[in-house]
Amino acid sequence: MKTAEGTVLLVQESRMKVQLDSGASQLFIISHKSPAEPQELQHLQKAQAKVRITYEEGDRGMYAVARRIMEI
Amino acid sequence: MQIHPRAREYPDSQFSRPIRDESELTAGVKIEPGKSYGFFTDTTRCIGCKACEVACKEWNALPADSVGLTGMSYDNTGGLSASTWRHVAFIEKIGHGGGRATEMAPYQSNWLMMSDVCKHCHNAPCLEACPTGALFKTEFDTVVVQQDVCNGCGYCVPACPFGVIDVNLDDGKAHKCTLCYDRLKGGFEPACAKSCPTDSIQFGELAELHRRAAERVQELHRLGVESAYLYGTPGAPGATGGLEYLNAFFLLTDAPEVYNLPRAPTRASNRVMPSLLSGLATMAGFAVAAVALFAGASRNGR
Ligand code: SF4
Ligand code: SF4
Repeated sequence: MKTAEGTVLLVQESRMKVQLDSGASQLFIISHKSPAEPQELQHLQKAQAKVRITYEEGDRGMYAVARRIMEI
Repeated sequence: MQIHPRAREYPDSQFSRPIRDESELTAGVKIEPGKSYGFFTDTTRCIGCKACEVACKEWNALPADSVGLTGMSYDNTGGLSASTWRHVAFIEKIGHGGGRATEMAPYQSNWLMMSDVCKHCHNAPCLEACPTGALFKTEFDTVVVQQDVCNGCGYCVPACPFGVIDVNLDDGKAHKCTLCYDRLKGGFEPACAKSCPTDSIQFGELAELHRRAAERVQELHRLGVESAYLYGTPGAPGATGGLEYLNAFFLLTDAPEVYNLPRAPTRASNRVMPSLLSGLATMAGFAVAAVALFAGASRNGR
C-alpha cells in the first residue's frame, strides 16, 4: 500500500479531493474497510486539514481507495 | 429570456462571496423547503456538449469511469453509474427499418441526444426497497441517499425501474444524483442545469416545469415535429405502474426504448403481494398434495 500527504480541498459523500504535496490533485474514495465514516470527513474540509493517507489504486475508475486517513 | 431585476445588484463579473438566492438569477426560481422541484430535460435542445456531465462530476467530486473509448458513438461514459449521475446518450438515427443507410436527409442531424439522470420518482421504488431508511425524500421533494445510513445491501439497485442507482464496491455505498441537495440548501441551481448552454436541462418548481413542457410540445407540433411528447408527467408514458409522475421528466421525439427508457416502468413493491400470495398458494398446494398422498397410503394399509 502507498502513502501520500496533502491538504483536503473538497469532501462529497465518501469522496475527497486532496492537493498532494507534490502539487498534483488526487481524488480518494474512502474504503469500506477504512475505520473512517463519510460524515467524519466534513471537518477535514472545513479545516482544510493536512492529512497522511494510506491508499491503493482503484481499479473501477480514476481514483485511489483510501484505507487510512491521519490528520497531521 | 428576461433578466431578473436583482441581476442589477451584481454588475461585477467576480464575487467575493456567494450570491444570496442565486437560483433566482440563473433559473428564475427561489428555492424554498416544502416546495416540489425537478428537472425538465428537453432532448430537442441538447447538442451533446456534455457540459452537464462535467459540471456534475466537478461539483460532486465524482471520478471518471474510464479513459478508454466505448465504441458507442461519442458516448464515453456508457450509462449512469455510482460515479456518473448525468449521462448524455448519443443515438445515431441512420438507416431505416434496419436497412443499411445509403443517404441522409438534408439539414437533419440524424442524432438524438439525451442527458439522462435519476428521475426522482414521486413514488420512488428505490426508497421503498431500502431496508435501512438511507433513501429519503428531502424537503425539496427529491430522492437522496444518506451516506452514513446506507449499508450497501444493494436492494435499491434492482428496485429502480430505470437502472439508475448503483453501489460502489470500494466504499460499499449506493450512489445516485442528489439533484444537488447541497446546492439547493444554499439557494443554488443544480450544477448540470446551470451549465447547460442550450437550456436543454431546466430546473424549477414542478408545476411551472409542467406548464413550460406542455407549451414546448405544442410549439414543436406547430413547427412540424409531431413526434414530440412528454415522458414522466402525470398520465404520460414513464409515469406508469404506480409511479404517478417523475420529478425529472423528459421531452422525447421517438419511442422511449430508443432512449433506453422503459415504456411502462412499474414499482417493484407492486409485485410483493402477488408473489407473496403465489408463494403461499404453492405451499398450500404442496401441503394438500402431501396430506392426500399420506391419507391414500394409510387407506391402502401401507
Ligand atoms: S429513478 Fe431509480 S434511483 Fe431515481 S428515484 Fe426513481 S427509483 Fe430511485
Ligand atoms: S449541457 Fe445541455 S446541451 Fe450539453 S450535453 Fe448536457 S443537456 Fe445536452
